[in-house]
Amino acid sequence: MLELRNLSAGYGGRPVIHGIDLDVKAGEIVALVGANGAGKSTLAKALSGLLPCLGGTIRFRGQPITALSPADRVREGLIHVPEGRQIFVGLTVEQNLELGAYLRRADASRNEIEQGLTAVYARFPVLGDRATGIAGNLSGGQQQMLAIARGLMARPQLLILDEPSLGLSPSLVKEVFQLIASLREQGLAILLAEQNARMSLAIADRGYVIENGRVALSGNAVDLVASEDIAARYLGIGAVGHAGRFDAAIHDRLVAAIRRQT
Amino acid sequence: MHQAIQIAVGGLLQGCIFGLLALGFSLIYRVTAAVNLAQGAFCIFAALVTSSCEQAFGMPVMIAGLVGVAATAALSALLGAAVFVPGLARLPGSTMFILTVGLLTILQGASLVVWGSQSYTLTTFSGERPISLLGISIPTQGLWLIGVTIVITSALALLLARTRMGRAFRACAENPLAANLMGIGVRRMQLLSFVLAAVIGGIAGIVIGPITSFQFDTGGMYTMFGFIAAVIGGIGSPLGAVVGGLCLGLATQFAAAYMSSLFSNALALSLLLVILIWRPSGIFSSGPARRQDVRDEPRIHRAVIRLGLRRGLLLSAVAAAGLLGALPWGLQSGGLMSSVVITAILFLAVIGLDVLMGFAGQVSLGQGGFMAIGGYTASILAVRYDVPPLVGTLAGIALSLVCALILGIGAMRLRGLYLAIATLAFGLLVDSLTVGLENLTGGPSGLVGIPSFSLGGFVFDTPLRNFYLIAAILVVILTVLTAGMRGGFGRALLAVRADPLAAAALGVDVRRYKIGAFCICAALGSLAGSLYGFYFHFLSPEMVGTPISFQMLAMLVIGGEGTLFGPLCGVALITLLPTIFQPLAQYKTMGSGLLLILCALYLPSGIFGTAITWLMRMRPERGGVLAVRRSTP
Amino acid sequence: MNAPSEVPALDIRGINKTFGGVQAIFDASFSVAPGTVTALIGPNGAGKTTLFNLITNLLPPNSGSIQFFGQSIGQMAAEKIAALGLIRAFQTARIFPGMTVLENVAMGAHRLMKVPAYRQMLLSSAARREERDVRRRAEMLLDIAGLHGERNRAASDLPMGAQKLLEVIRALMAAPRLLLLDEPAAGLNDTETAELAAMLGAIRDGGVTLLVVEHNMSLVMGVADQIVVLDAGRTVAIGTPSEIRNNRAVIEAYIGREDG
Repeated sequence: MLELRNLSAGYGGRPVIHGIDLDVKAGEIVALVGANGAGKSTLAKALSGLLPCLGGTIRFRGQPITALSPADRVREGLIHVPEGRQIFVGLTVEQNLELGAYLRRADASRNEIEQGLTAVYARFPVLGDRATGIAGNLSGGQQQMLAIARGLMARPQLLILDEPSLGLSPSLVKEVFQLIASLREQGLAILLAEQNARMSLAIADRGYVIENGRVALSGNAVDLVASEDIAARYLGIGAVGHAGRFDAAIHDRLVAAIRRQT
Repeated sequence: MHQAIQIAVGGLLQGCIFGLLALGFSLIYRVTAAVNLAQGAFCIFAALVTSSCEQAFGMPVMIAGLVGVAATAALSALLGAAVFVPGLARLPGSTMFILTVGLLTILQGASLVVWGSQSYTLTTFSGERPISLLGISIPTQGLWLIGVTIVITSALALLLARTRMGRAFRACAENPLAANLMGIGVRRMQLLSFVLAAVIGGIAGIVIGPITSFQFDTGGMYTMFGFIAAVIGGIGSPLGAVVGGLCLGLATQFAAAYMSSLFSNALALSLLLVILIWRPSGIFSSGPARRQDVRDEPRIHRAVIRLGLRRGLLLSAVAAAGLLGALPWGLQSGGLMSSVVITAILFLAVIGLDVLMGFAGQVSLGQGGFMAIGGYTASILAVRYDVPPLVGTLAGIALSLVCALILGIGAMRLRGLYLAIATLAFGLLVDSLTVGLENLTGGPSGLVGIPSFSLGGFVFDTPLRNFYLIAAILVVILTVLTAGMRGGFGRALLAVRADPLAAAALGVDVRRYKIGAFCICAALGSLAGSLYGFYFHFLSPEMVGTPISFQMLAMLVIGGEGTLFGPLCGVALITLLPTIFQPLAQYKTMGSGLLLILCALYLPSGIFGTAITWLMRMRPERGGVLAVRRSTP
Repeated sequence: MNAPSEVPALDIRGINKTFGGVQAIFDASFSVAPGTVTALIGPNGAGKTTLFNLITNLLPPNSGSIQFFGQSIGQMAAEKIAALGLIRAFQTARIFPGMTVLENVAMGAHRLMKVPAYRQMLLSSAARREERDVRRRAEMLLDIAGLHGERNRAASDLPMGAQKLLEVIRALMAAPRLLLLDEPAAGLNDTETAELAAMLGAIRDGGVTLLVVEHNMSLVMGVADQIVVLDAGRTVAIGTPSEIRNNRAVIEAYIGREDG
């Protein structure tokens, strides 16, 4: 469904990601994992057209879309739910959702939009309860739900989710990942960029590890987690009790530094 | 009673004018959350084109008006696509504001070149004879004005509230990034709102054209009053724009009728200041307030350029030596020497502006007002009361500090944009006082017979002596400020600019620091104003008026904000070039606008900052200069 | 125990806050003993960040009392509270863009700098000594944090994780008596989280009292001496990690059933 070949992108002409090759097939969840600043969000923005591609090609459902505008990519069914939710905080929940279907309003009838809203409210009852409330007053978790729901209003073929679990409490993180898994069952393809490697690989079919803007590793999600070496080296999983460079000497220096100041 | 009704009708018409002018501000703000100060210039452009079509081609006024509106649409589309929309994508809010000052300047400058400085009027749409209704006389053009106001306001309100495009406009203002992801062409919407606002402004200019005369720089006045009306009504709301316009119109007309026209402007501006402080969002606020958070500005921040202290002192020595070196060269022609002195005086005022804008991050459009206070206080004391110049200068500084404190304490509660408006209102208020208080200031024709500056019997009566005086002051001030800005004080100012909330959480009294920077700015402006008077032996309102405030803003941005030394490049470029190349003088206004736009868009650290970065890159091993930040992911 | 140490570092009694009719904080009360780590946990929207904003008076509380080492700070301006030594870091790191890494850290010392601005401008020796001392301490802390090599870069050029670390270092520069951290581990991987845990321990050992909002339960259970659970604006449970671990209601509402 989505094919990236040798893709480079970045800010102000300076590439942040280099030569990325990546595929997403219909109906699968592909996890994009890696450290902060590795280039996951940059990749997501390049896919949705927020950032220009500096090299390489993107093909979506067989068609090259590298030169298309963000609006045209939305029309094709490629929807990006950005990091940090980015809901319209001053608008009501319902207005947010209607804006999700902005491009469909050109040809879809009011009735179809209403059906879309009904379906979203059935899936997210809390949004239905607060449909006329200002979106900025929702809690963090509810805002994340709204961001995903708004993406669904556009009838996506492929959903790009950037850090959907950031800043959520453990029970909400579980809820979000369950939701993502259930979206796949509807036949949606999902590209999931996540810091939380453990949880995202647990629901993903395949995974790509991004390091310094390049694909460091890729493979079946199960294999990626299974290898302890890979997990510790690239994903920072399972290092509990091992405090990296923060050894006893540094501990003592920090304590001394703080004591000296007070 | 009858007279009162007649005045009310006058106020209503005046209010419609202000309301029409305000609509454009509201529309653009609604979509882009930016204020376009060039709005008034589009009104005048449309009216000037219409006038030319009438006179040169003999077209009837309606047809000529259509041509005028079409030309305005074309011009605004060009400027919008080349300047305004790219600016929105890469500049923070305060710089965006300055960018539109550049647009205003460039449009006024171009109008001056094409249409000259004479004034024009348009033919009325349907005859000169006023209609008389129950003894109240109403000019027919007034009826046109009321009709056009009603039609445009309702059309705009409908467009914003009821249509799909209106919702898309709203989404663009709320969160451009998310709007883009919804498939809304954000840049197209921004351009559309810019052009639509210019067209509304153009129509307003043409409908108003037969009522009041206009010339190349009337756009600045239109901008002020339109903007003030929009702020009073609540910027972003079409209804608010018209209500704000009506309040302003009625207030000014009644004040002019029952008090004096001097107080009508003063009243309008006081009204604005009261509204700003009492209800910053205006009478009608447009929906829930936007969340103000520095994180919401994913745009280019200015470059981080740091020079070591030794380097800073070295540079000040080089700058001083450079200025002194220019002397023998300048002595050959008196005109150039004089320009060098003017450059040095203005540099002093712009350094003050740099402390406020470049470090504390507050925009002031009232620096000319402080120059006026300093200049007139010292001059009047010297001319009328024989007070020694030094004492007069200090008195001017003291008065400026009092004004800055009052204005600062009232306005510093407000954020970026509103402080700019408050200082603008202050500057205009000072303007109207310097013109209006004729007994004291000599009125529009100026104050003559000001003595030279003298110190303990030594009189600074030649350009050369003045130059040495000002160069000495500059060296002292630059040394002191460099030391202050390199230490904890400057750091705290930068922190206040970057993130006031986080600064407060570290114990910085944000208001105090902002007011402190504002006081330094005002004191330097006042000092420069006093020196101006003593040097020219003459002071007139246009030498220290609001247009000068705008020009100093341009000089600062062109030279480089937050660098202390950079403004010299900007001041010298705008002051000296037209003197050296006389044929350029006519293009001075347009040129400074163009330079301002180019620097704001492409050289965020100004000529000086860019030069420094470039020089240091050549010798990276010397260090001392840091990474230039280009983008925020 | 001697008398002064019995005064809590922070004592919150009956705090209420409403936003447009919605009660965000409802009669919240707890106290933090000096030299300990207290974790504040609870579902999203429970009011944890709001509570931080009330303590630092970025938002004024509707009612209730807040005492900082026995001193009432409920009516005090935010910068006054910070000047007393109650320092916070924000949820999304609020470093100062347009300033270097070193300047950001040095900014933390603001409350400790006593030489007035005019003496800095006149280059008095006291001002120069103070500035030199601040820079030296800033460089030392940066070195400990492993950010010394980045000291002259624009702070906003650092990756997100480093920015969060920078914010903590900046707060330490202020010699805080009580440090509030809002989700310091958000966005960190396991290794980085372990580093953070070790660092929090060192900060406590240095004598700084800590109040931390955090979702990462392994971190909370590892470093906290006391846990306060907030739900829908109320303090629903207060206890040691082991007490909270065994509190069935908390686990079900907040952590989810499968793990503990």
